Amino acid sequence: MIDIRWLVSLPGTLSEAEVFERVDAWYAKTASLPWSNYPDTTTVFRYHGACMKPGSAIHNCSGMNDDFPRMVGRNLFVGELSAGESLPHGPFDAPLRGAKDRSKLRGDDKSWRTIIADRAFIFHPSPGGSSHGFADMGIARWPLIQLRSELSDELYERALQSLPVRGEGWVAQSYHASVAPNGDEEFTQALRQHLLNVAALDMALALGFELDVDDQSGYWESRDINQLVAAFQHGLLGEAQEAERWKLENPDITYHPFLRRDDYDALLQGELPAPPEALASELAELLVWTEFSAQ
Amino acid sequence: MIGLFYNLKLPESLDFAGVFQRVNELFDYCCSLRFASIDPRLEHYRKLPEKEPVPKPKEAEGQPLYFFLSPERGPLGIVTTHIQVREHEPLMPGESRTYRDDDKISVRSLEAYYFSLLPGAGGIMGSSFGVAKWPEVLAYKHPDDPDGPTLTKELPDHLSGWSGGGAFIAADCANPKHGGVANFLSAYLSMIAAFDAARELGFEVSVSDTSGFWDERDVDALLETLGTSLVEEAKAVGRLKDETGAIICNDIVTRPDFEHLESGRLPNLREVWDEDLARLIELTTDRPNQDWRSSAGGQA
Repeated sequence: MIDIRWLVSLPGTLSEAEVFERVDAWYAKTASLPWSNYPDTTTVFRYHGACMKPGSAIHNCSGMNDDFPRMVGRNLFVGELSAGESLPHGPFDAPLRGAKDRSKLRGDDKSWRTIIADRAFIFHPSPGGSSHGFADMGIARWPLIQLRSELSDELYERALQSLPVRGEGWVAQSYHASVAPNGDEEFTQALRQHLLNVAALDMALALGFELDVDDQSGYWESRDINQLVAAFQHGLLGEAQEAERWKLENPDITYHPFLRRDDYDALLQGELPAPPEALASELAELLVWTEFSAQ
Repeated sequence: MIGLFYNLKLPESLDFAGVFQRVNELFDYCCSLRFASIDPRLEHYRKLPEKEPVPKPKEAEGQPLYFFLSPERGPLGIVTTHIQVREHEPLMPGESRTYRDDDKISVRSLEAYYFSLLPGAGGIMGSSFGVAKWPEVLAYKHPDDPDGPTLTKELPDHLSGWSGGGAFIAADCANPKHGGVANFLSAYLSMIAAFDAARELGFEVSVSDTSGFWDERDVDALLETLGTSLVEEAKAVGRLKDETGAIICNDIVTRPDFEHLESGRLPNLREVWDEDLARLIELTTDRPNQDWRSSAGGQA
């Protein structure tokens, strides 16, 4: 599994309309990339404290059975705040239906709370294949002024560290992890996903967005496809070891996507999997995008 | 049936930035009203050129059919609309309808910006506010002759410029289990207040109100219409139930006074409302409709 994380930001002096215009241009530009599914809508998230009645969950009125956790781009407009100690709950700290699972995980830990952006502009192209993460493109503005008025200086500073926020401008972070548990086809898919994300981020850079990219494979800096392929190969080795450990810990459970691989034993021995044969033709188009934009 | 059918329009000369600003302002205003729930996401839709036609949503068995909203299609009236391309003789004598569902062809707008909200608790569907730019001409194959030549048809006048419509069916909101008359009035009057605000923001608003409240601004008459429409609905549903023996999923059968309504007795709609609702009533009844029209004209 190779993940890429990015933090997109714009100066806080830009007005809402100007930021929307930029995101819209980004959307239009990325439309030319060969996504497996490209959205026909961009979402403008306008969080308005007044539209929430106390105790109500954020309601999705346009899809009756849709649930908040699956809402497009939710990781761009919902952040989690943690200061290592008990945090007061604030007026913009709405209960989220999707937060239920997370609160279960954390038990009675009161040291965190959700924070909701007051504006966000989001689109959600799908790179296809299996993946972890969202690949949401967009940007948000966080209600830091209210936050500052509620928290002590020390808590505020510490809470900021945990937020997808640096400073008081427009900023949002997202990540996408390409996974390739089975065979050549998925290997190619995973590379494809990674290159699509890199190409989309290049376009954002060209449009004046500030970017802070953390690419686990190093491809973002080097633009060397061989390095990317090698990173995936080594990633597969790591995952095979992880799967083996998991198998030993859970002897009763026999299913793990990795255990079905033909070359599972070879991977455990440290043998690198062969790169997919179809690589060159499949990815040629994308390579043009990413290599071109790197110059 | 008691409900609102509406259409919002903005001049064709307006660019998207202008549309964006006005719809955003309308959204902010709606947040201050007494709607049951507002979706915080506004959608900017664009028709993608190479996009495959969107498949019809799978109609799950036993699920109610949402006529005006579906996640796959977007709100009807803003992202899609239906254009009648074939006329039929009336199916029954005296019937005014001259079309069947397969006489219509769905059209997707070119660009749209809208938001959705749930006016009252217990409502069967959300209502959407927004505008869309529609193609000028619809190219289609005649339903009788799918392999034949491509025909063209001009879209009706109300789809010129930036235009988007929607609907709100209100009667279920008055069910005591959803909050009764207070819930109904909050939803209905909030919609009216939103239309008033839209007019002030420069939208051309046309509303067809089956209760007449949009023109009359008389809350007592609105409640009277609600009472008679509930009685009518209860009678129709009761007859259907008795004649077919079917299990009726209509919300009205869950009203505690359903039997009374069925026998023709008007429901008791007198309730004491809280301050917020009283303010909303004042807001929507104090503004005579005509004055708004002239002031909106001056702004545009």
